[in-house]
Amino acid sequence: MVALNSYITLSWLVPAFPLLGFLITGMAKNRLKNNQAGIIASILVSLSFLMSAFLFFALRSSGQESATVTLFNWIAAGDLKIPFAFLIDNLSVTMMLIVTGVGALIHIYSIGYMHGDDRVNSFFAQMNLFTFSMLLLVMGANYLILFIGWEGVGFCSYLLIGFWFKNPAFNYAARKAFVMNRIGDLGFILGIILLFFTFKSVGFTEVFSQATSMHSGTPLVTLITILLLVGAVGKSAQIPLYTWLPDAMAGPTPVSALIHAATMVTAGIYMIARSSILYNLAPLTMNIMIILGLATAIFAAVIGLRQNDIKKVLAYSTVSQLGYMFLALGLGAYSSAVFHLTTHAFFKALLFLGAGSIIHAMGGEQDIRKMGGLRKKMPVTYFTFLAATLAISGIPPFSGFFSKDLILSKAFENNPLLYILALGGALITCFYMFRLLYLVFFGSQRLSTVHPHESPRVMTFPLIILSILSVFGGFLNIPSLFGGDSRFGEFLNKSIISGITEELGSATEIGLIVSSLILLGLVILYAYRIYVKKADIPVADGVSTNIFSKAIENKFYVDEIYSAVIEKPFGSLSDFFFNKVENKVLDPAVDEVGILTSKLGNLVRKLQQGNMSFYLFAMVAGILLFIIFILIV
Amino acid sequence: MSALILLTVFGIIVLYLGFANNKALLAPVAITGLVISMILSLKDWGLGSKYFHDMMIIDNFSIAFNVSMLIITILIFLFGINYYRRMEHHVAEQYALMIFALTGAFLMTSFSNLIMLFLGIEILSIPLYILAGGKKTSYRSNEASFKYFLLGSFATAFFLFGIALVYGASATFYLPEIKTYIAQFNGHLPPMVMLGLLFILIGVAFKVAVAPFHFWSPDVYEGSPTLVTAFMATVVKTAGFAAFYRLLGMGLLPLPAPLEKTLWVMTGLSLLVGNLAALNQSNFKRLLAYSAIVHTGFMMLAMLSQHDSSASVLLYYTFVYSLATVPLFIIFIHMKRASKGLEELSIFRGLYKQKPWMAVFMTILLMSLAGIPPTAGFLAKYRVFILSISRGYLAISIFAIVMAIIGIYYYFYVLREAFSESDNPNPIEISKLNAVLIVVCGVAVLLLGIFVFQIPI
Repeated sequence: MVALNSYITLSWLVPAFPLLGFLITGMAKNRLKNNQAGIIASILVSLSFLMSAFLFFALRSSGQESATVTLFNWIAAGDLKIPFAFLIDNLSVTMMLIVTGVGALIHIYSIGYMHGDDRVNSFFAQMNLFTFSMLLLVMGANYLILFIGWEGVGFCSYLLIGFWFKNPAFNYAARKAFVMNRIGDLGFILGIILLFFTFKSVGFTEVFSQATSMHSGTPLVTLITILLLVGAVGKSAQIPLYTWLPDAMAGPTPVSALIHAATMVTAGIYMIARSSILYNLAPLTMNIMIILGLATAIFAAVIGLRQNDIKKVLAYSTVSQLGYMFLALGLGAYSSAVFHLTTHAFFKALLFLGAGSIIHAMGGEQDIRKMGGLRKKMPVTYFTFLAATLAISGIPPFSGFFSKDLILSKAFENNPLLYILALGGALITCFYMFRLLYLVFFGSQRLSTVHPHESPRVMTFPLIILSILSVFGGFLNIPSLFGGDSRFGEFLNKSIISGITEELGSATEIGLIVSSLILLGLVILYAYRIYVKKADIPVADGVSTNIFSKAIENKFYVDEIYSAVIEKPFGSLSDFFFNKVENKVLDPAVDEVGILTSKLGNLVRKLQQGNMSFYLFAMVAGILLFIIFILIV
Repeated sequence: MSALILLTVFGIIVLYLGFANNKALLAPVAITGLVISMILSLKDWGLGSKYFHDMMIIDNFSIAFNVSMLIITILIFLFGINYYRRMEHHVAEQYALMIFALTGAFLMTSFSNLIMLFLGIEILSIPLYILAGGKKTSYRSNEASFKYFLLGSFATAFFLFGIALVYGASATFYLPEIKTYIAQFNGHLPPMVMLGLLFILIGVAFKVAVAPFHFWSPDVYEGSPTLVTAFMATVVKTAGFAAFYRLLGMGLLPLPAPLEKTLWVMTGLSLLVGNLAALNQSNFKRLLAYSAIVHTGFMMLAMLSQHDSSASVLLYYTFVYSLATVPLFIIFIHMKRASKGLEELSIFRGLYKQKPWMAVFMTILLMSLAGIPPTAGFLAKYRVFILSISRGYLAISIFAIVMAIIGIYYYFYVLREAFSESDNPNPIEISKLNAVLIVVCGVAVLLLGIFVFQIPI
C-alpha cells in the first residue's frame, strides 16, 4: 500500500508525455524533417503506455481499489471546489491502457501511412494532443476534468477530420462532426451543472457516495442521467446523433482508427460506466439506453449492408457496435460494455488500419467494387483483416465472440425478444463484414490501373500486434461456462457497480451459443456463395430499383431529413436575424455607443495639452471642490 | 531593517562603481544587492519588528510589498543591462538612484508615523525627479523632469500642510494615536482635522496618479527615459498604494463619510478619465500612462474595500500589473529602436511577421492588462470585484466592470497593429537575455492566471 501511494503520484506522467509530444512536434513543426515528428510522437505515446502498464501493476499489487491523485487545487468559488485530480482505479487504468496501447500502435502505423504528407508534423502534433485530451477524459477524478478532455478530444477530432482541409467536403464533414457533438455536449454540461446543484460537488467519489443513499427513480437523478446520456449519444454516435461519424471518415485513416473507432467514440460508454451508481438509480434512463442501443445496432448494421466505400462500411459497423455497448449499459451490464469496448478497440482499430493499408496499396481508392484479389498480393493485411473480421463477427475463440456473447446472454436474461433482435443485428454484421472481406480479397482484381503491394513493415507491425490482441483478447474474460473466472469483469466490477446479479443456467447458455454459431455459419456461407462463387459485384449507385434497397443505399435519407427539418429552417431564421435584426438594428446601435465613447475620449484628451499652468489650475480646482464638498455637505 | 540598510549600502557602492568605468559590473552588483536584500527581508517574515520608537513597523505586509517591489526592480535592472549599453556616461547613477528610490519605497510600506511616510515619499520622489531627466540632451526628458518636480513639490506642500493640521489638532504623528483621536468624535470631525486628512490623502493620491491629480503622469511617462517610465509605472505605484493602504488601514479607517465619498469619486474619475483618454491615444507610452491611471482606479477599489484579504488582493493586483507592464515597455523600446525613435502605435505593425513569438507574448501581456482569462490579470480583477461586491459596493463594481470592458478596445488596438502587415518593416533586434525575460514574464502571467494562490498577509 505504501508502494502504491508513492508510485501512483507519478500518474501525471501518463498525460504529460503526449502533451510534451504535442509541444515538441507543434512548436518545431517547421524544423522537423521526414519521419522525425512521427518517431517523437510514437515514442512519447509508447512511454505513456509503459507508464500506464506500470500503474496497472502498481494498482494490482497494492490490493487497493482506487487512488486519487490531486495535482493542485484548481477552482474555488463559493461552494464550488474543484481540485485538478486524477482517479486511478481499475476502470480508468483499463481505459488508459487501451488509449495509450492502441494509440501507440496507431501512431507507429501513421509514420508509414502519413509519410510524404506536407503537414505530417501537424498531424502528429494533433494526434498527440488528442491522446493527451483522451487521457484527461479517462483519468479525471471529477466531471469537470472529464469534460475538459471531452471537449479536447472533440476539438482534435474536428481538426483531424478536416486535416485535408483543402477539400471543402472534408471541411464540411469536420464542421458537421463538431456541431453534432455540440448538441450532445450541451446536454452533458447541463447534466454536470445539475449534478453540482444536486450534490454540491462534481467529484466522482463525493457524488457517488451521496448517491448510494438515494432511492431508485429519484426524478432529479433520472434527469441528470438523461442529460449525461444526451452527451454520450452525441459523442458515441447513437441515434439520433450518429450521422457525423460516417462523414468523419474524411479524415486520414489512422485518425478513423484511433478517434472514430477505438477511443473517442467510446468516451460516452466510459462516462456512463463511470456513472454506474447514478444510472442504477434511474430505470427509465436504462430502458431508454436499451432501446437506443438496440435500434442503433440494427439500424446502422442494415445501412452497412449496402455501403461500397470500405471506410463507410467500417464506420457504420462502429456505430452498430457502439449500439451493442449501449445495449449492455442499458441492461446494467457495465463491465460487459467495457469488455466489448476493449475487444472492439482491438479489432476495429485493426480493421481500419487494414483498410488504410488497402487504400494505401490501391493508390487512394476506397470503393470495394473496384478492389478484389488482394489476398495474394497483401498476405499480412489479408490474414490480419481476416482475424479482425472473425472477431467482429463473433466466431469463437476470437475476442469478439466472448464480448458479444456476453452482451447477448445478458439480453436474453432480460427479455428473449431483445436477444433475438440483437442476434439479428449480429448476423447482419457478420454478413456485411464477410461481404467486405470477399469483395476486397477474393476474386480477381477489378481495377487494372494500380499495382497493389504489401505495405511497409512500419505499417504491418501494428497490424500483427493488433491481430494477436483481436484473436486472444477474449481470453481476458473467459466465462465460467468455459471454465474461466470472468477475470476482466471481476476486475472492472471493483470500480463499477453492476446493475444485475442473476446468471443464466449453463444449459441455456450453451443452447444459445450453439444456435447463434449455426446461424453465423450459414450467413458466412451465404455471403461466400454470392460474392465468391457467383462473383456478384454490387451495382453502381442509383441503379437499383427496389425501394427498400434504395432506401438503404441512401442511408434511409436521415441526412436529408435532418437538413429539411433542422438545417433549412434554422438557416432562414439565421438569415432573418442577420439581415434584419443584426444589420439594421443591433449593429448600428452598438456602433453608435462606440462612436459616442470615442468622441468623449477626444474631449478628455483635449484637457491634456502639456500646459503646466492648466495642470496646476486643474489640481487646485479639484482640491477646492473636495474642500467645499467635505466642509459643506 | 537589515534589508533596508543593506540596500542603502549597495546604492552607495553602485554609485562609486561609476568611477571604475566598467559598465558591465553595475547591473550584476546592483542585482546582487537586491537579491541579498530580498533574502534578508524574507528572514523577518512573521516577526513584526518595530524600530525608532515605533515609527517604523516591519510586518508581513511591508515584507510582502517590499519583496514584490524588489522582484520588479530586479526585472527592470536585468532589462537595464541591454538598455544602458548605448549610454556612455552616468550609468551608475541610474542604478544607484533607482536603488535609493527603492529605499524610500521601503519606508512607505512600513511607516506607522506620518513623518516617516513623508520621508519615504520624499526619498522616493527626489531620485525620480532626476531620473525623469536622465536623457540630458533630450528636450522632452528635461521637460518631464521639470514638470514632475514642480507638480510634485506642489503636492508635497499640500501633504505637509495636511500633516501639520492633523498634528495641530491631535498633537501626534503616530497613526494609532491619530486613530484613537479621530474615534472620539464619532464621525463628526472638526474642520481642521477634516482638512488635514483631506490634504494628506490628496498628497498620496497625487503620488499614485489618481484623477483629478493625474495630469502630470502622461507627460512625465512620455518624456522620461522608457526604463524609468517602467519603474515609475510599477514600483512607484506599488509603493504608493502600499502607503495608501497602510495609511487607511492603520490610522484613518473608518473614514468620515465625506472623505470616503471623496475617495470613491476619485476612484470613479480615474477609471473614467483614464479610459476615455486612452481610447484615441496614438502614442504608446501615453497609452500605458492612461492605462496605468485606469489600473489605479481598480487598485483604489481593492484598497477601499478593506477586508481581511484585501491587502493580499491589492498585492496580487499590483504585482500582476507590474509583471505585465515592465515587459511591454521593453517590447516598446525594441520597436522604438527599430523604427528609429518613433513612439506611435503604428511602430508595432508587422511585429507578428518578423518575430511571431514576441507578438504572441505581447498578446498574453496585453490580455493580462485587459483582464482576459486565462491570464493573471483576469484573476486579479476578478478578485478585486469579488472583494468589492462582497463589501456591498455594487454600483461602483458594476461601473468598474464596464470600464474594464472599454479598456479591451485600446489594448486590442495595439494588438491589431502588431498582427497587421507592414509596408516597410524595420529589422527588430533583441538580445537573448531580453527575449528570455519577456518569455519568462509571459509564462509567469499565464501560470499565475491558472494556478490560484494567495499570500496571507
